[in-house]
Amino acid sequence: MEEKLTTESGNGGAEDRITKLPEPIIQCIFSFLETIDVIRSSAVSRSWRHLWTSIPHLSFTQSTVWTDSSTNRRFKDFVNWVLINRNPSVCIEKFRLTNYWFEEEGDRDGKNWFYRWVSLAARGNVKELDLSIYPDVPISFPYSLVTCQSLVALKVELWMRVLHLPAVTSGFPSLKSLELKRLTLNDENVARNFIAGCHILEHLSLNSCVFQGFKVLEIYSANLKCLNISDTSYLEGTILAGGLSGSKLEVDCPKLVSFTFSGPSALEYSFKNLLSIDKASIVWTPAFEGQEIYNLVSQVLSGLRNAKVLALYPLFFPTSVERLYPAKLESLSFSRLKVLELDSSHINWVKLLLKCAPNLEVLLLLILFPKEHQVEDETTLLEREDQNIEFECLRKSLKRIHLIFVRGYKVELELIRFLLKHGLALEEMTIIWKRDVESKYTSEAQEEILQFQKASSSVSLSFL
Amino acid sequence: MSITTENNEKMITLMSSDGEEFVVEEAVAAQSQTIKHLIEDGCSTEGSIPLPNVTGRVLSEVIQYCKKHSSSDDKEEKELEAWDAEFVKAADDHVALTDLMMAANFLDIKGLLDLVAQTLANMITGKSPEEVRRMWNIKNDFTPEEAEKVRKENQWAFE
Repeated sequence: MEEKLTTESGNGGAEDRITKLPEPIIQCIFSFLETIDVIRSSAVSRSWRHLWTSIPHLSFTQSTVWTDSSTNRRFKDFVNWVLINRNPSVCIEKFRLTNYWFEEEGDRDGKNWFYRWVSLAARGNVKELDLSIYPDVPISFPYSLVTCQSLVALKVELWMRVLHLPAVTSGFPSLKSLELKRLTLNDENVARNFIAGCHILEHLSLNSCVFQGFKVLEIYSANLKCLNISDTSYLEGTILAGGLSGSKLEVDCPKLVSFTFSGPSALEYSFKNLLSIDKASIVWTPAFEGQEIYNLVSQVLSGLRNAKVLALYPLFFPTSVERLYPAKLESLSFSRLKVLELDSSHINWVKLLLKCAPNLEVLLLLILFPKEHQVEDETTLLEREDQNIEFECLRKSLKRIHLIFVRGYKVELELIRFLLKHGLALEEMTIIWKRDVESKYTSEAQEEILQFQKASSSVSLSFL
Repeated sequence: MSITTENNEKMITLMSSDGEEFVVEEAVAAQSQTIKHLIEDGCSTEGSIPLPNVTGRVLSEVIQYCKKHSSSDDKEEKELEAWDAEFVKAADDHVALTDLMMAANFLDIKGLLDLVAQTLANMITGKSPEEVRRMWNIKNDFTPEEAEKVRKENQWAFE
């Protein structure tokens, strides 16, 4: 009966182009499908009948197929059936296992099958492995995976369960990208040796991990280019991972190009040999007071002084350090820095960084924690120093300034006045008002800004 | 916040299968690995590069994509994603999408190939074989016996 439907089909008589596509193209489309959908497609047309057996991408998501735990058994049978019946001579490009959970009460079977599938993938020369599982026991990698010659990318998410990293100093010989997400690591020595032992690793991401009992997280890697340490658990309202709030962070990666850190601040930082760093982004929620924050910022900034693009925020400071001028850091030179993105709630830090970055070209200031009135002295400090302090970048290189979430407060206007007065090289200043501010305030502020003295005759001001 | 490129960019002429000519910046055309190699091999020094497998209609779409993706180094990833979504939406039916897919494959533009493949894959996801056939006007070329056999073989997918 359905045959009639299809031959007479309504679709404006548009010809069937899909099944006539060359096989590699069909494979490319199918590589974006869950394996169950690929297999279902074998009943669409003769030309697709056996295609699924040679698709190099395998993707199994338990929840979309069998939604209640009583069908857990059938999910395992399905994965097994696919692995047995597929063409073993086709290498596995990508193996993805998502939302797989072990049954309650020591589901040995679930664990055994998990290890078996991962071993089979390793034997099938898997290049990319993506595992998101809910185990009820600590997980480790099967030996065949640790020594797997083909594995290039590995992603593991364990819903906070423990991952026992292999205690080896040389594993994953081809691994270039490693992402560990929502899992617990509990041995700092094993972690350090493991990371250092992935010899050609280029990307490392540690996302919302718990570093249980870590005094220090040491990332020593000869070839690492991209490092991301983030703890977004507090944003997602899930289990609090705590990030590195109880540990020190040590990074020694001479080839590191990009570094992103977000989450609670570590207790202490030591960045060594970050000679190749281009882009660094630090988004902090520091849990410290006074002098300690000052020290942490000093440690971070001196470690990242080779960056070309630097984003630092939210750098909010308790009032106790508002007036601290980071004089000790004045000797730092960010001579490669071209783009700086900063929370501008604390003017002294903005000024410090402007002073230390003689070649800065673009400045983005986000006003995240507005203050209606400046803390005593700060405005006058600006004025006082106006006369005798040289801001090389303002004079020579700083072309574009964007201020974001401006409310028109006096302290913001003072900063703008200062930048316009000294920005000899300035070509463009954009002021983006905070949306919920009444327009009568913003238009007043705009009037005032337009009257400011401008060092650069060609600067274009825009208000958005 | 886009940085304006210098205007001394080298231009390249591309000619579609139906004789339409497109003049584009070399950096835009070089998003296509195929064209990039042709340029490197010196095939573009005189006249235009002929693309015998791509019609003018499809080529103009491909160029749109390449322009967007070559000028967007400093753009937000999200903005680009939104643009991509609109771009495939505009291609609208599956015939246009398969044309784009073939062109992206021939011209070797990985980003575009993946984008269109993902779009077509999304259209199949969760659909029964009958629904897929109806959607894309695919003829059911199985005999009833064969159809039954396929279902039995792959019973997992049809439960």
